[in-house]
Amino acid sequence: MSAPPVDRHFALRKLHSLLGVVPIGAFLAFHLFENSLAHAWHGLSAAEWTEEVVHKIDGMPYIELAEILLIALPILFHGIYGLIIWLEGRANPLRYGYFRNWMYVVQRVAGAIALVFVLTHVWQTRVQVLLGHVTKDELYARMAAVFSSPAQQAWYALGILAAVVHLANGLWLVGITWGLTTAPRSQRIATGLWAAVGVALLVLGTLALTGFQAPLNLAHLALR
Amino acid sequence: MSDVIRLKVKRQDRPDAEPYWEEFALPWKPRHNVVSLLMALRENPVNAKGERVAPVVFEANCMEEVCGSCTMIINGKVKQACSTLIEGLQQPITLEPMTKFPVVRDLLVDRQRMFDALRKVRAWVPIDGAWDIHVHAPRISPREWELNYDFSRCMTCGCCMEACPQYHPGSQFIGPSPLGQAWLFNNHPTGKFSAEDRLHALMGPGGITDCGNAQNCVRACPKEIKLTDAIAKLGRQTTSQMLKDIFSR
Ligand code: SF4
Ligand code: SF4
Ligand code: FES
Repeated sequence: MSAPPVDRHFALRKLHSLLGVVPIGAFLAFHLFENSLAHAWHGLSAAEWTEEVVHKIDGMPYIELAEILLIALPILFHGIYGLIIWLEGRANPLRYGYFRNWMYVVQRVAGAIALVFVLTHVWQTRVQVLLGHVTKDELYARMAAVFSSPAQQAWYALGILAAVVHLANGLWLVGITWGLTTAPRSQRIATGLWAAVGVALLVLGTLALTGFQAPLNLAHLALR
Repeated sequence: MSDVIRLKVKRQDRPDAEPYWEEFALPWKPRHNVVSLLMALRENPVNAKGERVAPVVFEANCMEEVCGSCTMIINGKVKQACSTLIEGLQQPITLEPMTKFPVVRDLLVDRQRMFDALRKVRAWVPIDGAWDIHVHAPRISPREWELNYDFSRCMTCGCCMEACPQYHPGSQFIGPSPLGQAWLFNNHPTGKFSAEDRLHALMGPGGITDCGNAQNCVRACPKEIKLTDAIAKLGRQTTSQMLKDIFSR
């Protein structure tokens, strides 16, 4: 057999970088968007949200296959290979305290937090459906129950923040490693641009985080 | 102005020995730089306790910040000892050898790994043969020339390597300076002929993908070489080389 066209190490790094944008980054943006719809601001009730989000996505063809190939496997690969990359470096922000050197550290820490968070989040939701402990129709109530604990809500806030920061800064890195932004000026503009995208995603995340109301609260609201 | 200069040197007697700190106090003299101070210490190697000790070993050559040999960590920052004036330095002045290269003795380190990396990326122009090639050197625009000149001033001092979080004794990464030189020779009118070989060398383990874009290198370089520009442009060159390798073979 002839040698592969691209060196294995190079190919793995490129794959790691690409998967972070699509599908993982794209999915994160979509996921925050669909869950932000649970916020009263959008005027969706619990039942409407379940119909709009849960049923529509559930009805898509090949959804289980997509969940495995486009979400689960890419996240696992990106996360585990990312941890390996972390171990290869020796961060030194205390000696060289520049903004970009701090972002080098932030990128790694945020990535690790996001990975642990995603695992706990999938355990609380998708895995519980798989185990038959909740049905998909009960997911809204399930999230409302989770968020009734302030500790859980704080953990979700941290997880969403970490994931969004990791994505926004990751996109900035992609601009360099794939060779789009090759000079300080364009890299500065890219910093601002991705920071704005990050803030927009955090707004969606905040809506999602504060949107799921416990049924009791809803009933209370309806009575008024 | 005080009349003594207090100095703290991180010393190491042998490559495999434990390092230790030793303090010195030298008489104040105007316009001392760190190398001239170490030379004065060599004339009278007595530590702050008054004991006569082995002179502090260091390396220096050009005394005008072009050879790179006197690079060390001064008050926590990596720089050239010859161009660092004592005036304005906080005392006691701490001197440490670079941490990314093996210590030979005291402040003297072995930067061989950086030179090996230059060989790995073919940081040269392959023109010399035993025959007359009958052509003049290719023309180059003043703008390109200026850009290339910038990178040609690299003195392999190692400041960028010292500051880089991805470069350390346990990593395979070739480091920022050899990346800058690979870019320089890829941008040279004759060097271009081996651009693909350089890119393939950079697309292996320890190559361009091992840069973490912390961008310390460009801040640490005393020659203000645009290392991060070179790194991003090499990102572009390797991306298109990858597409060529996959789809055009
Ligand atoms: S950008 Fe950062 S990681 Fe890359 S070579 Fe420079 S210092 Fe090292
Ligand atoms: S690029 Fe700059 S810091 Fe790095 S070795 Fe060359 S001169 Fe020194
Ligand atoms: S002695 Fe040459 S750079 Fe300092």
